[in-house]
Amino acid sequence: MKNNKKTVIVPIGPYHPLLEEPEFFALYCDGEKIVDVEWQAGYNHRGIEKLSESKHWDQVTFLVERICGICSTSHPFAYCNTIENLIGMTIPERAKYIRSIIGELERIHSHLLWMGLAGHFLGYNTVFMWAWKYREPVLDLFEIISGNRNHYAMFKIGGVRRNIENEDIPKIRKMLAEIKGQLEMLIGAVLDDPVLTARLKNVGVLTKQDIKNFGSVGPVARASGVDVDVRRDEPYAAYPLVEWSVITAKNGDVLDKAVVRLSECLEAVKIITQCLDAIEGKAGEIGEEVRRVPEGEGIGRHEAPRGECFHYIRSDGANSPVRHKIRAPSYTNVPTFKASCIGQTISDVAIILAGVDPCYCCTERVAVYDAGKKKKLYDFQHLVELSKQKTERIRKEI
Amino acid sequence: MKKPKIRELKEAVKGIFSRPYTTKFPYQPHTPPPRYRGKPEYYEEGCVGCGACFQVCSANAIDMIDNTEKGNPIRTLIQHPSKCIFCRECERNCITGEGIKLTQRFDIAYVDEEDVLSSVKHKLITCLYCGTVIGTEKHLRWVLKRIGNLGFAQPVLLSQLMEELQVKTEYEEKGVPPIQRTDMLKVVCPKCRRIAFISDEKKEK
Repeated sequence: MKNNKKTVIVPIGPYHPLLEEPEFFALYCDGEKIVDVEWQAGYNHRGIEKLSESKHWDQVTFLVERICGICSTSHPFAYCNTIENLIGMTIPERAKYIRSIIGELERIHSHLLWMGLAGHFLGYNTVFMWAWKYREPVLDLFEIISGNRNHYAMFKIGGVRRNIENEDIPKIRKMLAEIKGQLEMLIGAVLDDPVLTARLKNVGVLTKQDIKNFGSVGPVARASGVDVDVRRDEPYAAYPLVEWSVITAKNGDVLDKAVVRLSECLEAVKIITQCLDAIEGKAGEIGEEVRRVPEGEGIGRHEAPRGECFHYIRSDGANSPVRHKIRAPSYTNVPTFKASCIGQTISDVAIILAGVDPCYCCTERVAVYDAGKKKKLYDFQHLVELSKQKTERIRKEI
Repeated sequence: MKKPKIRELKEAVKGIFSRPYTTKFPYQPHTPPPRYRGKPEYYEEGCVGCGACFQVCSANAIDMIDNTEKGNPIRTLIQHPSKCIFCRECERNCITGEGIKLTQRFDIAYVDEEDVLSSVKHKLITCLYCGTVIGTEKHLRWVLKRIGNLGFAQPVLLSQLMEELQVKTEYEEKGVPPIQRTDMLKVVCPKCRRIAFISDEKKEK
């Protein structure tokens, strides 16, 4: 591709003007059309997995919460599932419902955030303003329940840290009803809008086969008709105890991703309402004390707003994990640009890249540096080149 | 086509006539919700200086400094709000439940860090021979109060009790090596007590 003189490289990043996160995209363009895309990551590597090995079991919950700012409860959710899987314990019923409430509230605020950003990328700032305005009551609700707008610190191994008091439930219910009305208005306004439809329809299409090739998860997969959802496929927390459905679409373009995400918000409201019904007026334990984590391995999954979040932990019976592996949903979702961007125009790339709702800081688990004079980041191609150079060198020597 | 336009127009008109969504914060005080997790603060009366908050802090936002210089050994606990993640673990694990508590204070931006630091100082009890930290005076007395008569079995706690009852004893005198078996009842760390026990045994033989 590089040898072709016609192609022009359009660099985006490393400090992306749109997504507010450091990553680098090189667009190889032939005129207006994208011929190839390359991605370099590693600017945001913080060594969370290594840090986790130096913290106590209880402290890791707060550490993994800080992997991502937007889906800040999905990592503790997956982590607690992992430890409970390792111990082989079940948590009290009330804790299950509270966990689901927090997870679903987060889904609403994350999807609204995405919708706002998508509108902003398209130059449709009314959508941005409205979506973020309606996201605000959700954050207020979080502040009432957990004491913070973000980083709720609600999860602990064996349950939840804070109870949702029975006196607060009518207030939460009232706010939720308001949020639902606003959501319905926004969803109607967005999906009926002729400009948005014209701009998003048949843009960045991912077929069912593409999804299977890249192993994508979450709303990206569901928008292409692949019916995967950890909440249903591998039930945990209160999801098997309430009625809800998995939203899927057919086309796999950006509009369908918007449809899936926005419909999921309403589905989330449904789940929260049922969970509140289940815990209202009842007393119960909200957590069990876990004194010791035995030797062994555990895995835990959670359907984060962006897709399946996976944690693996190995314990040797001591105070902290021996190995902690984290796989965020963006790890499989972001590389789909290879299928969706090629053949599109440059002006559509911003929304296609944003369409998978990427979260680069979640994804980055490794960064490779040259220890020599030239300090640069390696990607797969560089490594292949290095390997080839070494072969050449050896061949000459022989 | 008509319906969406009316719906959006309604929202737009509503937006024109409703007041701004933002609050007038700097001019009007903001009251956070009752559960708000704000800046943690130490309370002199409740804190016994055990250092549990320092141990459980997941962001290393609490410093515990033991100054064991001769004369007046002091333990200082300092909470740095700039490092704090407001997880409320210090409050949950506080042994008295009243030593450190999260307040409603949210404005913790500072020019001089001293303005926002919260700290507490406690008198330390150290080993008479090697100077190892045994615990703060307040903590030992708190333990003594909890275990009652069982405190008589522990020399360090016993000495605290005697001090509290203002019984003047010879134990307060500074010990001088070599350690003898009678020193076992003085304020000594477990290691020195073991030495006292063993060395005296040898002498008798």
